[in-house]
Amino acid sequence: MVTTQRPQLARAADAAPPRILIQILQETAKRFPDSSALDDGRTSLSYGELLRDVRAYGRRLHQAGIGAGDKVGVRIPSGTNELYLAILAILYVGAAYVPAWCSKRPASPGSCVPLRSSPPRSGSGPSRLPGRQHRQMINRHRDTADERARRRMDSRFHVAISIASQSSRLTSAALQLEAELMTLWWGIPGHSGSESVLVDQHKAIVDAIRDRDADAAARAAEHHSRSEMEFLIEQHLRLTMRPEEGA
Amino acid sequence: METVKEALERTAVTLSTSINRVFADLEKIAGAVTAAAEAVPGVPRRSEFLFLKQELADFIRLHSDLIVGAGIAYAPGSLPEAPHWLEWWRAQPKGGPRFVTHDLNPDSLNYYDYTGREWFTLPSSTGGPVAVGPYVDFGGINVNIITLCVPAQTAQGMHVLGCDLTLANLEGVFLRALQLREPAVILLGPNGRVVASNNARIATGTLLRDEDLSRAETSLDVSHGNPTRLPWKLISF
Repeated sequence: MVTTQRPQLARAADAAPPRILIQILQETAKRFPDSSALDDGRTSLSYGELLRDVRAYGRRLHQAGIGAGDKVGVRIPSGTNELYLAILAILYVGAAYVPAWCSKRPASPGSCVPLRSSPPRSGSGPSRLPGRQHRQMINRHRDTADERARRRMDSRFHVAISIASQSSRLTSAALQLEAELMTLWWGIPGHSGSESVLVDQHKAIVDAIRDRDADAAARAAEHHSRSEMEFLIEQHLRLTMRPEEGA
Repeated sequence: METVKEALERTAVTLSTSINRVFADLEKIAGAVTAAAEAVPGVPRRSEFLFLKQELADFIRLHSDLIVGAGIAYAPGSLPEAPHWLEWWRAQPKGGPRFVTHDLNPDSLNYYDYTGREWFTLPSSTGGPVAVGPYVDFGGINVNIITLCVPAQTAQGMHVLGCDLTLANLEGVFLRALQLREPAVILLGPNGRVVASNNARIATGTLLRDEDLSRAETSLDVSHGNPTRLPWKLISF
């Protein structure tokens, strides 16, 4: 039988569905692109402009090696548009922000510092074919034991490949997709038993691109994409099957 | 330990019970349409059916766990005001249902000729309720849906009342009833397209070939009593 779950509070059904801040920003920018969103007395940004600048800032962060799961210290004076841009961009790439104390304006305007012990990643860099950095990412993915860290490596690899393609549209879509997926990963188990398969699939993509074999690269990417998609559908089926999920 | 066949039988009962509940309420509204037409001397005008707006809004709200919209398509030439008339409402996240505009201008590129759509022709020709789809309702709501249709016979012709089932909600009913990850089980529409499945590789809307179906281990009519009305099958591989 279908189990029905009913809201316990009156008008609970009217509440907005669970969303992350970036989704709210995207929806607002879509509905009210010309409405005023930010104004620090010097620059005024509409919601459409804010989202555009957040995306651009997010791309810069990723090119600096910051990605999903990172913690980023923000040392930007309050009361400036850039502070909010930076915070939103950090969330946009799936990272978390940590306010850093700032007694006076820093020498360089605004700074975002990745908080980690390992040296910053150099990223793929513009106009480079996947090469050493990407293979290093694959190796780190293979050697990392922590499940969440592995997922971050998986996401970073996808974004890095997009950046290497030098398509701003693809990179923007990849960033958005990985940020959205990152919220899903907290609630579902990993690709149990298939981690090495994912690493092998990543390797096949990089090898094909290195060999300048476009057809093989497309096949490898499609194969990998299909595997990931099937994994997500499996999770959807598993969650939908749970009786308490009944509408 | 429940066998696969028993799981399919249990799922079939849940599905047919859920759908028949919707059919039953839609048939009541169709009965009201027939009665309203009979109560008027001569040819009833559209104003005689204004009560439908509230009836259908209540119907959509009552069955919001399965349906997203409902409406009526009048028999061609049955209304004095217009040769064709279609009234459809779609549920909104908040407030009452919204009227869905269809382009009924025959000269328009986007002309929605409902008289040629299967959801209109099937109940009109058979005179009975039927579940149509899954299909993409281009020019209508443009998504993959199933339409439950019920005819309303009047002296002026056969009107058709219908409601749209979302495949996402139906998938939920199917999966929660089935409770099986293995083997692969599909809910198949009469057009050979998959309504829902428990397998990531068999997507909703997939058109199965005869050779795929020949590999079926078990096949079961969802509605034993009335497969014409609900012509779906549960198939395991």
